[in-house]
Amino acid sequence: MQNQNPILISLSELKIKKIIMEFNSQFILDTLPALSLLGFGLIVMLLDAFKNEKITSVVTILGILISMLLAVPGVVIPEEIRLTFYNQIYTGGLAGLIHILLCLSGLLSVPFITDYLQKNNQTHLQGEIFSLILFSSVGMNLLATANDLMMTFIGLEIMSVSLYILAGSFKKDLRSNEASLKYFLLGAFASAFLLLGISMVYGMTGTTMLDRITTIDPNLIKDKFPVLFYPAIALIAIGFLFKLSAFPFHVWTPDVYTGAPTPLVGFMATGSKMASVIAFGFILNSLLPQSGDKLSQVIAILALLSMIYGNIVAAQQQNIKRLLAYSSISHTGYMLLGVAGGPEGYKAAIFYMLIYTFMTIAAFALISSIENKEEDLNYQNWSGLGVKNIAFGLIMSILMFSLAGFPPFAGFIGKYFVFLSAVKGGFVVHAVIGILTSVVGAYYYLKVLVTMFFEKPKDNIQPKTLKIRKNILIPIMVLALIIVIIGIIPAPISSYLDILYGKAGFLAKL
Amino acid sequence: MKNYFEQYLQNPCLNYNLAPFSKRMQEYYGAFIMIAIGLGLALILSNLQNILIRKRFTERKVMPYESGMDPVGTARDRFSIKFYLIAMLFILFDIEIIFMYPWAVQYKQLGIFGFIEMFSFVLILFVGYIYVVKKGGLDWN
Repeated sequence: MQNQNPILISLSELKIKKIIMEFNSQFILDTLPALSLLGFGLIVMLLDAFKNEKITSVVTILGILISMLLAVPGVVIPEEIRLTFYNQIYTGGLAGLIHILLCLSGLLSVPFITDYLQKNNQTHLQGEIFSLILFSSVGMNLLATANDLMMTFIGLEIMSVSLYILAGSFKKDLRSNEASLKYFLLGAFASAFLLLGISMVYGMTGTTMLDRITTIDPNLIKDKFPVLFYPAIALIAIGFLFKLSAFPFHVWTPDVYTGAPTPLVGFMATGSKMASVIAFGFILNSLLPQSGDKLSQVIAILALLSMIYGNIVAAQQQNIKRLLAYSSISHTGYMLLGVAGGPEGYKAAIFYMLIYTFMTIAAFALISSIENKEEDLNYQNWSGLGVKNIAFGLIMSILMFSLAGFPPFAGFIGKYFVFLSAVKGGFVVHAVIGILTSVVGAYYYLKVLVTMFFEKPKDNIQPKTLKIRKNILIPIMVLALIIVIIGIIPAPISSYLDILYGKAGFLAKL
Repeated sequence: MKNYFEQYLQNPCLNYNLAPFSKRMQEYYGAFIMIAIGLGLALILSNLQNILIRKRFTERKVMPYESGMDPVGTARDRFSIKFYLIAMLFILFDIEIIFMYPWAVQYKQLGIFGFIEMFSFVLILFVGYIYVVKKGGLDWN
């Protein structure tokens, strides 16, 4: 036992010199997108402390835009993905695009949250909410672009802790408190699983760096550690499946989505899911031998169960927020089918996530525009609403058709790519059953539209404010337009994703 | 990088169980001595006061120490939430010191780089402190 405990060895001179050498202008430029988000988060916090809440929404939008612009140069001229921040995170190329997509979910929800808070006379919460959105965007960015499993965990925690608070941001609303507490307790429990899995992976391979782990043949690890191998990856998978609200780990979803403030749900449901899907697919593809592996088959089955369960239970719901919560479980199923289908499916899952972001944020924003009391959320009370308020009806139709996956809209394209990759990856049965469940999905999405357009209006129970306020009508219309445009001409975006994906180094060669 | 994993498999930590028991135990001698000293010191000090002091019991003195609270009463008593807030904030700002120790140990070698890193860390905490003060987190009334 001559060897010293590695933890006790202090940083050697050589290592420190290397650390200081890497600290140059390129380093600062690479980390600036994430750092600027953090900086603006702190500025918003200070603005809140010095009683300038009114300008926080503008500062937040400015901060997210600056952060996105800083990532743009590496994305526009497609460049190779590369490691930075002492090999902790990826930057440039695909990582830059992921950063922009994650920022997008924060950016899009800001105007809706501002409006919602004004409507509920809660404007004093603006500072807190926007700074938390910025902090959680930092977490999402770190989670999705992490190379080190420890960085993955830190990113996940920064993201989740902010989201726990955001869910309970209406302090005097019991539902909101319930949502926050449930999310926190279950989320903390799931994080422990993830951490245990990471420690097992460290025990097997001696490193937490994913780029190092991929250089080892997974079959070699499996031979050396036959007992540890699958439990380790399964534990990591449990942590992520919880965040994604996949079938056996979905129980928190309906309550949290119903209780949390409506436009914030749009942010919670999209950003955190996108980051988790990206990180999960990345880690799974680095650790598992090949796409037809035992564990990826298990995940494909979980995806299938999520689709079946989410769609069937959503069909029973009256509350539109609960309906969308269950439908988000089924959408998780579609994404997971992509993740299980290997590198090709992983790409499809990212594309699906992009479309899902637009649809979900717009849907929750639109619901929040007519929500005044509990009964307004019951879509049975919306009879005749579509005819009375053409704009609401039209945009809702676009969103519902798109969520159901009807051809001219973006939702169809997303589903098409996912199922295509699933068939290519050998999950033919899964794809067929998945398509059948999306037919069930079409039933309840269209039921909302049928109530809105073809039933006689009942004046006494209808939502009072039918007029959508101008400052959120325009953003929602833009989102609806984007959904239609992506649905009609998806080629530019998907081929661009292909180019970036091809330049994603070892990620593409997995 | 290819034989990285093979190198790792040679790691003594992994093949730990191959070493004889007595040799493995050697690493724990320090911990055993620490436990022995700790236990011994506690026993000596707690008994020393029984031997050395003169005992004069009053009602207050015999009472179990509960930070000035009445130890007898219902467990469902209502506390001011400020206690929890102060305790939480104390832990938050107390923990920052732990992160400073490793930096202080390597201060000379890390130089200006370490200083910048630590400065940004403290800056973030400082913003948090301003926020707490301005929001009235430390006001008792």
